Amino acid sequence: MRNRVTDLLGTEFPILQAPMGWIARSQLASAVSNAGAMGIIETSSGEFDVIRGEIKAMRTLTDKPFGVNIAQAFVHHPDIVSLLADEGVRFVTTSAGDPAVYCEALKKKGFTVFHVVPTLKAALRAVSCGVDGLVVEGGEGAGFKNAHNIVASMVLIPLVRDHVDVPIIAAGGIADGRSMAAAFALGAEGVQMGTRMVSSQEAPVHANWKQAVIAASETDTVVVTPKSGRMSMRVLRTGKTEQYEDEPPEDMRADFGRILELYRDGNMLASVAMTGQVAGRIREIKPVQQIIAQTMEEFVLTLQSLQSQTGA
Amino acid sequence: MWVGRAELVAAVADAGALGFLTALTQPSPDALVAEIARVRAMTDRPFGVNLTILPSINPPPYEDYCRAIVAAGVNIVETAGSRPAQFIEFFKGHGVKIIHKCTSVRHALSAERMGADAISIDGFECAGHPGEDDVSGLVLIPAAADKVTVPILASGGFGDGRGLAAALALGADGINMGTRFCATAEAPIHRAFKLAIVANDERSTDVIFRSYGNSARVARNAISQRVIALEREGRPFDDVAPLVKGTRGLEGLVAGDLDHGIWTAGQVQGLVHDIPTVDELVSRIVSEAQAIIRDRLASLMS
Repeated sequence: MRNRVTDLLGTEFPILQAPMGWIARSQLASAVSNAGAMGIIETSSGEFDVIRGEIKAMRTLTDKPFGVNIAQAFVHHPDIVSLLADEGVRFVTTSAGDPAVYCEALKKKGFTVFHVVPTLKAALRAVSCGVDGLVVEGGEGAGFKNAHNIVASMVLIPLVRDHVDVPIIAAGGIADGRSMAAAFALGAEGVQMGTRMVSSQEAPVHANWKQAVIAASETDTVVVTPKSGRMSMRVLRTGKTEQYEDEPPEDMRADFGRILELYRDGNMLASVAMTGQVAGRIREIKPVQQIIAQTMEEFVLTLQSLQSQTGA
Repeated sequence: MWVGRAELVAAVADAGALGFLTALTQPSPDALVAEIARVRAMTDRPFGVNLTILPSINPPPYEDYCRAIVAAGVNIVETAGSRPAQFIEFFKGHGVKIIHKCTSVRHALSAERMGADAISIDGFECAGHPGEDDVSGLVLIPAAADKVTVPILASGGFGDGRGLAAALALGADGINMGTRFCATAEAPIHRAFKLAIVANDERSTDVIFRSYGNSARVARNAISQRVIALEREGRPFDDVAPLVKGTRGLEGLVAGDLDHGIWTAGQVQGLVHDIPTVDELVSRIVSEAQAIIRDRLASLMS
């Protein structure tokens, strides 16, 4: 399949893997790239020295295109653009910050740049900075949210589409070919999957979390807001979030500090597990290659079914 | 509520879609019978009646409304709200087709077991009562479609052909629209509300009554903001009741005063940019969806 996104990214399919902190490392991202989609290395862990090793590892694990996400609030390195260019990275998504900070420098070095946005206002700002495309995050997705105004993809994607010309990647609520087809109907030209990739065989997270995603229904995520009111986030409903209901944390720093106890050691009470509502639609831990292939197969079947429904 | 009267219902029916009178907009079962007769004087196409069973400051005589609906010969009813079993059973016993509107997969399945002929499933983005689970349509519709065997109408966030095509892709059999139909020429509400829906963006809604377990998405205005402030203070419902009572909302609707009471609107108001006739709107949505499916999406497969 070819469209503006595959042309810009050089991938076989217009599917991106979300740059989840500590998870979007070479093991997962290379599997995604090798499956014909866009694997992306994270920086939101802030462990940039480790990340450089992960980027180097990508060169040996895949000869397909891959990208890096610059999570601006979490990674601060004066030479990050040059370092990524030196490693041969061609595609970057920027997020959690002002798109103006990196866009120009990245474009000068020849990168394709997409910025991640949760609102129309942020989308317009990113486009004015010259980005090549947008990752538009609906409120159903995992991670950081404005708890007071969660706008759903069903409204947000067509809304942004009406106001920008650059390609849109739909993020939040996407796990298969049906949701991908819906996103395309709404005006997206690509999709990004996070929670579906957490529950892949290759995701470097503990089986307890993967199993919890499989077991979850669509109602099993909550938006946690600390007392500070800052950094609300959608996470899996766990014993930890039940504790928050009784006593909200002052801020998330203490629990974030223990996130690897959950991600790697499987202690679901140690921290929060960033998970989207689409967990309720994920029933099986699968290899990434199978996830991508089945998504594309179902995407085409869905489009064919729509054709027959309209009598075309 | 209030907008679901004969003028709009007849226009929707004439456009080839299915319009619903809202039973409780009428002050009495007799008034509902008269409103049904008004629709019939305007159109010979099918239409239905909605009966919403919700916690209310003064509960209406639901059974009397049910009998009036059946006696008037209406054969499509949309039920909504809590514990619909006795109502579904009553209507089914009189040969009425039931669409049950709900906000979760578990309620969809229980309505199906009760005998509902179709399910209307409401995502968190909808106007009115989204439930307490906050699941958006992009996830909720396919989750329901995987488990429910009767036809599904996707509700919440729909206002154009892109939404219709997306809903069909997710496994729905049709869409249900409220906010979008309010901003039409025929909707019998003050023009100020139509203009407000056009002017408002996707973020101009508030979810109120969350602390009472009866969440409602309404257009953000002075009253909704006061209600939220009172809820944050932990005030009981009795303290907000004077602000939100139906008679107050109705006064505002009639006068065209956007800040007099609460009025419902969904996130889709961010996608509403005009006030077409119902016929123009329905034709546009259908032709846009067809074009998306036959042209834009079809080209991806070549």
